[in-house]
Amino acid sequence: MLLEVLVAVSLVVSLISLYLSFRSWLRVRKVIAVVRGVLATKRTKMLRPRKRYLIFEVVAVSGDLSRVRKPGVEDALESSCRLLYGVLGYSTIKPSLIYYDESRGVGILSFRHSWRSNVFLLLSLIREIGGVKVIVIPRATTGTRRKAMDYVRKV
Amino acid sequence: MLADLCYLGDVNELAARIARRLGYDVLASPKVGEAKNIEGVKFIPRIEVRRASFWGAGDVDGVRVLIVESKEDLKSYTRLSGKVDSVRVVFDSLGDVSKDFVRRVIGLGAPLEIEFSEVVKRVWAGKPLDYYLLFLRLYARRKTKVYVCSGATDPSEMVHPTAMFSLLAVLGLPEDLAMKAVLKTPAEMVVNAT
Repeated sequence: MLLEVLVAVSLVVSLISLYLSFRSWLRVRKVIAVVRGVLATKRTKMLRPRKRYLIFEVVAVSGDLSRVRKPGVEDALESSCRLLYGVLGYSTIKPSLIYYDESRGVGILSFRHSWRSNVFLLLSLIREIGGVKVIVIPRATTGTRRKAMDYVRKV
Repeated sequence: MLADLCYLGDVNELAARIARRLGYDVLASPKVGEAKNIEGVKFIPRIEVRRASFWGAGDVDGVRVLIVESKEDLKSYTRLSGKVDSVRVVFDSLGDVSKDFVRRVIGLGAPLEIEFSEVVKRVWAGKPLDYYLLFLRLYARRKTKVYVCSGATDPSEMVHPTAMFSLLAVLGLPEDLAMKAVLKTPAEMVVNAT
């Protein structure tokens, strides 16, 4: 009788220890996965390209602002970008004029988020559009198109 | 207070209006004899002095900029210290820069002027920006101060402060230091000069 009790107790103890060791192994595996993930983020993970929307204003220094048309603004942006950053830079920045109000000279430009400084610099180098001397002033940057349109309505 | 310390164009209402749109409060121009206010923008004198004519210049109100065209111009830097507000180095006529020259620039203690239009011209011409990068490295290591100005010869050449900030950021300067070089240092200089 005593032998049977001892066997049963040892069986229960061994089962409990098996369960505990399995649980701790699962925890350790989770920690290893987290550490590997952190290291992978630092070394190999690429930034997900996100869009930014820049609201800008074209100010005519000499000449009539109404002569500054949307195709002219698009051409100026594209040529300046290609000249300054090359073909590779242009395709990486991917600037596109998504809105331009010809009467007020206010527009929205979308671009890749990691090139923000480059786009600001690019805008400052546009000095003439359609024969009109202009200055392009960046007003604000937003993360969504809707917010950008809201800002344009307020300006 | 936002200041552009190197506006070289005509001082008139158009310049003041454009400066106002760009957010500037103060413009320093060599074409102004004494401080004046046009349409809410303050124009202050910018006095460019060379070493040969420096001692005859006397005391003047305005931003005093020492133009350095050769290594000899900074030989008496200890005597110049405190008498000039900033230093503008003309790299085209300077030639090679030695360690001695860099030591004198640091010893003078005046902020170095970087002209936006000049940097852009060099970029368009495909010329190297080595000297600018050297001084920006010194600035990043807190050895000297740097500020940026437009160097505009016409109101249409004036640039927004964010463009100047972006230029420094694109050249590799940390954003906080770039911000300081555009916003804080010029404002401090205006306060000291007037």
